[in-house]
Amino acid sequence: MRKLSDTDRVRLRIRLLLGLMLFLQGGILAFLWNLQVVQGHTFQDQISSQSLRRVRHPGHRGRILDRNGMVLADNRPSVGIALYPEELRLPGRQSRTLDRIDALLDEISEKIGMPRTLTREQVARHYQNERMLPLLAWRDLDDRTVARWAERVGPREGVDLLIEPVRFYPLNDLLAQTLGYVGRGGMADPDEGRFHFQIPEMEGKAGLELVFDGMLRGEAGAELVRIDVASYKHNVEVLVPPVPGYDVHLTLDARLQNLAERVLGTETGSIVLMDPRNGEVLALATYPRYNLNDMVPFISHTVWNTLIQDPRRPLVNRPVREHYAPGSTLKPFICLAGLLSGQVTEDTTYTCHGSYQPGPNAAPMHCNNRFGHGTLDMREAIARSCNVYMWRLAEDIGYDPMFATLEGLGAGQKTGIETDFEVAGILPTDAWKRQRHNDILRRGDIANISIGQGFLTTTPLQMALMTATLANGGTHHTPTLLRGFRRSEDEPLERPDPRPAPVAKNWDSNKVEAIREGMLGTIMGDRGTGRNARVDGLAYAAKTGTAQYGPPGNRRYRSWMIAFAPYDNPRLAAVVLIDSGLGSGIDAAPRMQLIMQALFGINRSEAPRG
Amino acid sequence: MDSLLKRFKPLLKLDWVAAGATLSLLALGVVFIYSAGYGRESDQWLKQVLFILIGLPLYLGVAMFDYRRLREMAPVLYVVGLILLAGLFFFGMSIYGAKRWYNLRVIFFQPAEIAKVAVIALLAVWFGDPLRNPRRLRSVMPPLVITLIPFALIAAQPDVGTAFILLCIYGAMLFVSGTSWRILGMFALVGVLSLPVAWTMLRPYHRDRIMVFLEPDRDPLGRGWNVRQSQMAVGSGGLHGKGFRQGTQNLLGFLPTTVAPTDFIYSVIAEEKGFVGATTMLMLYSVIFVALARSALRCPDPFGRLLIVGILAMFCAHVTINVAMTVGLMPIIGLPLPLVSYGGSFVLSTLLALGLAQSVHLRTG
Repeated sequence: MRKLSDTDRVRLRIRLLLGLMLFLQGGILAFLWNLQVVQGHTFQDQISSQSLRRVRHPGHRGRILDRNGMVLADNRPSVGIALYPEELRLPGRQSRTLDRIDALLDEISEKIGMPRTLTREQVARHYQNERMLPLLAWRDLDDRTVARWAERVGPREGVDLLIEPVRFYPLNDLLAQTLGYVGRGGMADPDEGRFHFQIPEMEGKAGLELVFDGMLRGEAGAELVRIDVASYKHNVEVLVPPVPGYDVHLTLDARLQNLAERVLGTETGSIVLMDPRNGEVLALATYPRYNLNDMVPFISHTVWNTLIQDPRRPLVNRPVREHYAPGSTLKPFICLAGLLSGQVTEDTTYTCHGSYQPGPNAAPMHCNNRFGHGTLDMREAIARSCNVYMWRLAEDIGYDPMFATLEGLGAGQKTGIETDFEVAGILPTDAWKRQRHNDILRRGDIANISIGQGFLTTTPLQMALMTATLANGGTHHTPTLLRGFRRSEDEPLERPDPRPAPVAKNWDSNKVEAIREGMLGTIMGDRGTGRNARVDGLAYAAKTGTAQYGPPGNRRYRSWMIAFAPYDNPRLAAVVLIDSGLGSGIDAAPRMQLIMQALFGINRSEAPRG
Repeated sequence: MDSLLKRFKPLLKLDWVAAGATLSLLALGVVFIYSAGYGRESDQWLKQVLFILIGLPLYLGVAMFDYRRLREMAPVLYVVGLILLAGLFFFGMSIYGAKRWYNLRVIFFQPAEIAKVAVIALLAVWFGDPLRNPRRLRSVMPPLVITLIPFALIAAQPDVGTAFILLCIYGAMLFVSGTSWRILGMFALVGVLSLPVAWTMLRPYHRDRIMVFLEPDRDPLGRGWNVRQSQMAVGSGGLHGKGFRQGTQNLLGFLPTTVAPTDFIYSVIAEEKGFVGATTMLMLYSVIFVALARSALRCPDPFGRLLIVGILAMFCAHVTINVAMTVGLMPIIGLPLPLVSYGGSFVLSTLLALGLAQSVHLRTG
């Protein structure tokens, strides 16, 4: 009895369920009747008034300026002729539409007297992939062409003038690798058809243009353009106004940058100028460079191929992206390590006979003076760049204090400057060498490191940072290129995230002073290795370095010079590096002398900063 | 030759009404996918034909398969389904921030499709056990757990629409199992009370969609765009529609081209074929609903009966929700229209489920 009633209940329930389902469909039909038949005409009206075009406008891209307000990256208007493929669409096969566009391009080309720039394949590709973007058929038209356009063609369905901002670098190749360049950005988020058209947006592709892209780029706005069948714009209603991006103000000084680049000339290398009082980078020069205006609005194949096939690799921002053996410029810091370890003093002397044997069976290593420097104290060892002194010192203090001091100065770590692609260089450890060479650091390795040869490498910027820290008596400032952002002149400069606080090393000032005196001796001492780089009326401190690289017997060297000036109250820390030079005294010292002469010399042409 | 014919002889007893309606809907789907892609040189309609050609043998093959063997397979299928769902979080392909698919190169495979069928089978096993008294709370809770595990996994992808389908399946099968009205009422109450909790767990864009539904002019160019344009497409269709391939909303791209052939295919149909066409579609679906319900009514085996009810519930929920959201009766939750929307994985799984219902039908009476 119960069983039967159960089955009946189940059958009833199935019928009820079906009833509910059919009821729902009925409800939908009733709704549709109302929507389609009763109210149908109101929707038809709405649609016919809907020849509104939603256009996305990118915000005005911010500029990049140097510390004195000189514009390094700007925008200029460029008039072009744009096709709006959506409007040119014909029903039926795509080839019909392409035929139409083809014919249109030929016609305009003849009337304005400019050869076609787009092939049918390019048009087809754009039509397939980026129909939302206007297709620029001609760019950068001059006034006469624009006049011919207005006279003979005029706006018509699917074609119109488009005024587009194009990035412009007034100083061409100045600071090229650091500034970087923009390219055309991709389409905005595929927010499912919110926009019919997007005005192309610039997007940072390299350098600071890329790093600060988020700040430089404004926020896109939206416009409703009412268009009739003949494609005339009736009115334009701004829905959301675009917001301009921020101007980026750099610490960099275009005049110093220009000086550095001129001094570097056509030697592959780097020059870094930094303010030791606050870590602000004033110049970041390298050669070879490229003209940034060749990179916008897009990079042609010819330009790109030339750049990447150039063996000197002009795209590389050497001061931050390359790391080299620092050579003898490391010696002051090795001596500093000795002093800080407490195992030696500035008066500790070693005697140089011209060579040194790192181990009982090891081959002897030679000093730069084959006949020996004799007995030297630390100041003199720095000024005269004695290898044997460093080797003996390193042997006495061991690697640990060297490592600790160099690490504290920033070796082996990225400095944290804002450029892209910064590298850390190498501060070797046992673990590092085991991984690379399946061995630990041996006495010979440590001896090599103590004179800046061997495994240890630094970037020019790192050397500038270490020099700055020595110059200011032991305060580590994170190097920066950025003063701040602002939208207009009357706003204060702002940094979204504050700079890392300076770190005071709390070094004993007597000890630092000894090192600084050694470097002073390089320039001012009778037998200093940099005495040829003296500048009348200026006392400054420096260290030369000539590092071997490449296969044994290579007659080319990394020619280095680090310096800070003026000696008493340093406002400048400078690094000159010639990648493939003949020796510090030949390539680096004269260049350092030119810089110091220009900035601090009696007959200087440019006023020093600060 | 004779023996071969004999093997296929049972197919003569197919529910031809359901099969006919199914085929008609598939064909109409291809036609309107073609229309939705018209002017874009889209070959989606051709791909859809290909999937149907793969799907129909699958449909018949599953119909030949004895559904009773599913009783033992159900737990295995269920576990496999859960593993595949969990695996999505690690190996799934992300589209617009949701991880719902495995990319199998030829096809995007959506494991939720397996999970739905597995849940139906496992619930049919449970509720179909004559020894259980469906009026006891004790015997309706475990199937709820069975449903909620894949529900949670699918909702987390996030795919709220498909997860909701699982609840519909559970509700329908619980109802048909003959449970007491008291339990049904209680569940309904719990469901209503948990709505605020569900609201807080929704993603912001889901909330936006619901807000837009409640207040359509809130953001007409943004979140509200699709609904508004879809509703305009449907509304402007009128009684007879604008004619095949003449839907301006679709043709001019006001109806986004990415969703026109998939989730919004119904509005393309309603625009081009008007109220008449829209009604015809719903009628064809109703034919399938009735046919499935009839198969369930005449099936003496509780397992088979419940299997059909589950399939019916899944099918009907898909149709109703999709149509309701395209015409603006419901917030958009992104479910395709069975048999008609473009999409290989979904065509195959729908045909598989309907084939399973045919399998029950073949072995009844």
